Amino acid sequence: MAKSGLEEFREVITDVRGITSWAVNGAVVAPLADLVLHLGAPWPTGVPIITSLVELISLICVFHFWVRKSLKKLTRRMVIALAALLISFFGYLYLFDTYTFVNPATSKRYAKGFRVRPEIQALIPDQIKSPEEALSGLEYREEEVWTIGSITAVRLTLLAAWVLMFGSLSVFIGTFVMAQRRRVVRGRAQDGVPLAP
Amino acid sequence: MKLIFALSKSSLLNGLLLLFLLTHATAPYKDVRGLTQDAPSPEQNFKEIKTTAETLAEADSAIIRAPVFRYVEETKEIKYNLGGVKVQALELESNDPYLIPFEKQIQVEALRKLFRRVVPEERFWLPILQQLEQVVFATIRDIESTTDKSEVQRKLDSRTTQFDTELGKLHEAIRLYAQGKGYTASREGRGIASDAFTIQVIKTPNNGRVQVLPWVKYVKCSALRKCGDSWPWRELVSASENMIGEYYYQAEWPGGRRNEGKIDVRNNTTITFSPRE
Repeated sequence: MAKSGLEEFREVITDVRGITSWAVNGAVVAPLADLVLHLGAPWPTGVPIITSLVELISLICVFHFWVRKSLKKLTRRMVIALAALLISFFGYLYLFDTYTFVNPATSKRYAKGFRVRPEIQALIPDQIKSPEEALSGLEYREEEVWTIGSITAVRLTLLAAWVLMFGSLSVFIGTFVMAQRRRVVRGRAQDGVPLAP
Repeated sequence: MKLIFALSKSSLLNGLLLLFLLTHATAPYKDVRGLTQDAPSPEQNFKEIKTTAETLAEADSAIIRAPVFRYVEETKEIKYNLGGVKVQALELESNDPYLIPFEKQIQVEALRKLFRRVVPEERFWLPILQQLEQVVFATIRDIESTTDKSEVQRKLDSRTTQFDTELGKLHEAIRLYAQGKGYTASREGRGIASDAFTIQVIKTPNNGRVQVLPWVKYVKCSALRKCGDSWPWRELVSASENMIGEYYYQAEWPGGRRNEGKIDVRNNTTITFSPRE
C-alpha cells in the first residue's frame, strides 16, 4: 500500500529524531571512552568530564545561534567543522605521540616538555643519549628533565587540541542534524505537506 | 590493657601497635601509665599518635612519602615538596576516623625532621607545624566528642580543609624564605612513592648501609667530582622501598667492605646488596 505524504513525513521526522538523539548522545558520551582507551589529554584530571561539557555547550550554541541559518550556510560550516576535526585529530595524535610518556609503574601518562633543563642538556649526548633516557635516570620526574614552563605549555596545547577535536566533532554533528532538518522541511514544503504544530 | 578496650571502637590501636612494634620493637613502651586509666582522653590519644608518628618519621618508614627541601645552586632554586603518607600501608580501615589525624601527624613529624636537619636555624616553619599539630589534636577531640557518624565525617572534612589551608601557609612561608635568600622556591611535583615500583631490599650481611642516587644525578656529580651529602642520596632503610628507573648505589658494611654500581628498577622485584668479593 502506498504511504500517504503525512506518513512519509512522520517516518522522516522519526528518522531525524533518531539521528539527533544518536548524534547528540554519541557526541557527548564519546570523550568518556577515554576512561577505557586512555587516549585523552594527560592533564588535568577529569578531562573526559570537561570534554563532555565542552561538547554539550558546543551543541547548545549550534542549536541556539544557527537555528535560522540556511542549508547552504550550514553545509559550509559543516565543511569547516570537518576540516577543524581532521586537523585537530592528527595534530593531537602527533602531540600525544611526541610529547607524552607513560610511567612504567602505574601506566599513567604524563606530558613532557619541549625545552630541556640546562643542567640536563649539558649531559646530552656525551653522557646521556636523550631526554627520555634522562627521564628514566631521574625517577620519571618530568620536571627534572624539562623546564616547568615548557611542560605547562605542552599540557595546555594537548588539552586545547583534545578539546578542539571534540568541540569540532560536536559542531559537525550539530550542523549535520540541523541540515537534515532543513532538508526535511524543504522536502515537505515542496510536497505540500502541512507544517507540524 | 584497658587502653586497648577503650580504643577498640576503631581499629586505630591495632594499626598503631603493629606499626610501633614493627619499627620500634626494642624500645620501651612509653605510655604504660595510660594503660591503667579507664578511658583515654583526647590528649592521651594525641600523645599516643604523636609518639608513633615521631617513631615512624625517625625511622624513615617506607610508609612516608619523604618531603624534600634542597638548594640547587646552579639555578638558584629551592626545590621542595611537603611529602605525604601511603595511607593504604597504615593497616587501618579506610573508614576509620583516626586514619586522618594519624596520617596528618606522620606528615607533620616527617616535615619537622626534615626542617630540623636542613634549616635548623630558621623559624619560618615552626609556628606552622605547631598549628598543623593543633589541627590534628582538634580532629581527635572532634572524633572523641561526636557520636553521630555523619557528623564525624562532616567535622573530618572541615578539619582536612583546615589542615590543607595551613599547608598552604607553609608553601607561602617557603616561598618567602626562598625569596629572602635570593632563591626561587619550586615544588618537586608528585612524590616518588605513588609512582614507583615496590622493591624488596635484602642486605647480605644485614648490617650494611645502602644509599642510592638517581643515575643522572650521579652522572652529574661525578662530572663535577663532588658526590657528597649535598646531593639527594637516599638511604634504603626499610625492607620494602619505592623506586623506579636507574640508580647508582653505594653499599658499605662494617670493616670497610663495600660495593657500588648501577641498578635499573623496571618492575616489582627483590634486590640483594652484598659486598664485593
